[in-house]
Amino acid sequence: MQVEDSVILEKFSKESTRTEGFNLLLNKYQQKIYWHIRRLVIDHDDTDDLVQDVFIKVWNNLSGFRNESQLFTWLYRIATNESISFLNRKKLRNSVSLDDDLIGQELINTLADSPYFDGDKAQMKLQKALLSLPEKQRLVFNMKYFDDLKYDEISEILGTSVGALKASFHLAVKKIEQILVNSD
Amino acid sequence: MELRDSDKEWQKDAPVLASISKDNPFTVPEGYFNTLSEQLKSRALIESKQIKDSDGFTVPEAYFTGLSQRIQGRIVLESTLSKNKEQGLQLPESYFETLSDRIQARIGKKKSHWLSYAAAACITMVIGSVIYFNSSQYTISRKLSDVSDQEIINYLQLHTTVSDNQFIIEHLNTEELQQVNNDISEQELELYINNTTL
Repeated sequence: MQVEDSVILEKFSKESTRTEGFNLLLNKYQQKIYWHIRRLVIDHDDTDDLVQDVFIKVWNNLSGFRNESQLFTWLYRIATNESISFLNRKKLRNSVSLDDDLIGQELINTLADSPYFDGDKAQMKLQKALLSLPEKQRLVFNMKYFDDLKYDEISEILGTSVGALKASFHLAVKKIEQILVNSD
Repeated sequence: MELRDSDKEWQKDAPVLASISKDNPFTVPEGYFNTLSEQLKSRALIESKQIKDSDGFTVPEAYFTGLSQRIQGRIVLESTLSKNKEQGLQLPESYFETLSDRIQARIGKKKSHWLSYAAAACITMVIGSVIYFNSSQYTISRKLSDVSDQEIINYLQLHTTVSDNQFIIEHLNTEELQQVNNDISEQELELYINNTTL
């Protein structure tokens, strides 16, 4: 049975139990955060770096968490921002503009060469189709389709209205379907 | 209900997508998440041990330990540099402007010194030569006075040549010539002239 967020926050707020609270938080959220990042940046080593950065930020800033949002949406927001920043830096490092198409192609290449992809042909096609989408649209699709989050929760994470998110998701579905149909 | 209906809606629009497995196709190295936990706990511990001030700024570990020494070292260095600036490598005012004139003046002095030395040397040589030659004559006269007249006559008769006679004749002064004339008769002269050829 998973620990309640309130218990984690309670233990973290006290100096004597802060480490215990942090351990509980890791147990509950570390894999969710990892996969959220991994689906965005594709490469395992990049994900590993980002996950560590995220949780160190959490360690340093959890004391200031004010319960204005849910703990896990706060965590997802940090993870999302770190991932987007990473992808933007990657685009600039490669001396390209902040063009989604070009970084998408690079990530497709990374996916094709990755030793840590175990999916079948169809799953590979799906991932490649996803990587052709604009970054934010890919984000919304991942959180809805793979993480099964509610639109309210996604709205809280991304700061986008529920209506816009629904529209974005349905557009993404149509594009992916078109790509999958045409790729056969 | 609403979630299921919305789920069904998109499945109707995307049957190919709907047929693909939702299983996670990505993998991680074996034991990764256990390692990740330990790493994160260690890093959190390190973060908590760093020195923080009220503003949340941190400093590198052991920063303040060496700070005092670094400051003292810097003070010593700065004071040494400022001393060197005061004591060394300074020039008198207008040094280079007057340098050329001073060099010329020194060259002039050196020349007059040289001339004076040369003059002194010449004078010395002259005096020395005079003394030397005079002393030679005096020595010769002293030595000749020890030799008898007959020995001188015998020597001259054996060793004089025609050119010697010519030299003697040319260098006889009037007084010496008169003396020679007084010592030799006319007959001896006539006999000498007829028997010698010049």
